[in-house]
Amino acid sequence: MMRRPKQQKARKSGRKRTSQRKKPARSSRDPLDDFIVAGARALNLAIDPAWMAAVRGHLKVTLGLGLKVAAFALPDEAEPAPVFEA
Amino acid sequence: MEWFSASEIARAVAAGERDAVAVADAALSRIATLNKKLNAFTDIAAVRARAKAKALDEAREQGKALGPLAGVPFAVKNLFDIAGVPTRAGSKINRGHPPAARDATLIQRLEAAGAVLIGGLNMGEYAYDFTGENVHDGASRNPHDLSRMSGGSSGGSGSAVGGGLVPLALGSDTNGSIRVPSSFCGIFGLKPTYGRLSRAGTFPFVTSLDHLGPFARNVKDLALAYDAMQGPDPGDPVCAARPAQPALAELERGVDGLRIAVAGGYFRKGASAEAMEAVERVASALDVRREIEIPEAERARSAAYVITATEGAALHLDRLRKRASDFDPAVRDRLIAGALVPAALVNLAQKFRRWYRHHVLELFREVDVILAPATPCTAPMIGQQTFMLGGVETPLRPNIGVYTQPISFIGLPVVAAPVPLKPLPIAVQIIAAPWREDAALRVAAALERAGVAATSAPRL
Repeated sequence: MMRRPKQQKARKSGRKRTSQRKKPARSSRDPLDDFIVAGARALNLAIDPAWMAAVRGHLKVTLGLGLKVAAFALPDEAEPAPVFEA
Repeated sequence: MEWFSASEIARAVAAGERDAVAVADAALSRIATLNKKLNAFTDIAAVRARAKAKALDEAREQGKALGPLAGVPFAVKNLFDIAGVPTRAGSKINRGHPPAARDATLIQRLEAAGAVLIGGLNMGEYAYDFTGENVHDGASRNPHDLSRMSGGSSGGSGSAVGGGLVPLALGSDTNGSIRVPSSFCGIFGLKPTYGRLSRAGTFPFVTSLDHLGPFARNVKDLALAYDAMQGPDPGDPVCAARPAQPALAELERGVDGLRIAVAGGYFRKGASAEAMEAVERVASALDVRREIEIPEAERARSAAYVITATEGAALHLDRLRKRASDFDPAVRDRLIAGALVPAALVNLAQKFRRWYRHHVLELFREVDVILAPATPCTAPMIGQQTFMLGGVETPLRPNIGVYTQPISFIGLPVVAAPVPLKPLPIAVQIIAAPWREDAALRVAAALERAGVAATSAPRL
């Protein structure tokens, strides 16, 4: 399982944020990374961190192509190509 | 014997002019010499081949009729089950499987017609490949330039037939894996209609899209093999319950009465000068002036991509959990990505598939055959990562099939006909309506007679 970067503990004090405060590590991550980590965890798939960039790249391409298909207007009654025969 | 056609070999063996054992020995000898260069074969079945050939020679001596492929050596992509051999499917993982208990249906049918199985052929891992490269077995090489790709994923099939190791080979085509090696290696390939040929006894990739078919160096051999393999098979639930429709006798009919058009729009975007020259030569030889547009071809390619990634991932999910590091990294990372694609997108891709099929079949009311490039370019260098597609530097691996994917997506039959450009060949897709392989083969035969489509012998 891919490890998440350690999160900084949220401060309980009501002090205002200062410009010197470090940004959370997550902000430098690609937003898709959280999806990949959660999806891999749900599927019990281990992803070596070294594979992450390639997996992210392939997923971006596939999602982009899938969304291109999803943008095509089909009627609600459209049947998928494989039709089960009882 | 290296450049003899299957039909010439079968005639000579049946007539007693040549022993089947001598033919098998000649093929095995050529493989022993040239496979070091081409890396086409991963398994060589010498004992089995000689035994089968001996049995054929004995049958002939006893006056028994031999089949239409008597003594013809052939080989199969190593995702076909060969009795006694583990079916590796280009992978490290599967070669640890027990040996196959029996031959794949198509091997049985070719051998019933007298052909002699010589061995198994190199391929891209689990058929998720357009290059012919394989991290475990090494790349199969292009016979016209050993530094170039054979094309995938049936790369060994392209190398073996194009290099003259065997006159006939079988491969699989999910998104272009028969048509791409045919184009890069300059040989003829037939991807029949989805459901035409049984896939029983082969390792799958994407069952929604998987086809099997033959490679040869001329159209007659392609039709001979195709005819020998047709027919229903309860072992493959996708195999159609329709009788065989032999195509060989149709080849002499020429193209009279066939309405032919060139695919425009998407199929003209991005193609190299060589790809377009090949299409122009073919269209000119056939006196085709009509151009039609296949609607939503680009979206069809996108949908095929999504279905491939997700069905492939589903097939390998357990192996990805347990043995991820044993995959080819290029295959593994794409499969992991495929496992994460939301199901809604897959369902929409399958719905779009039906829409697209309906509209493309409408086109076949107006035409019988459509011509399109097979690959956007001639064979790239082995290891090449990017290429120019429409003037834009683009990742090579996933985009070699831009012109083949929209066609196999709806299972249309296609003959890949090689145009022998110099220095490298490139093929044109001859696309017909479902179950009209005969029309595509007739056009290919006419082009061959005109000298426009041909396999040229490489210097090895």
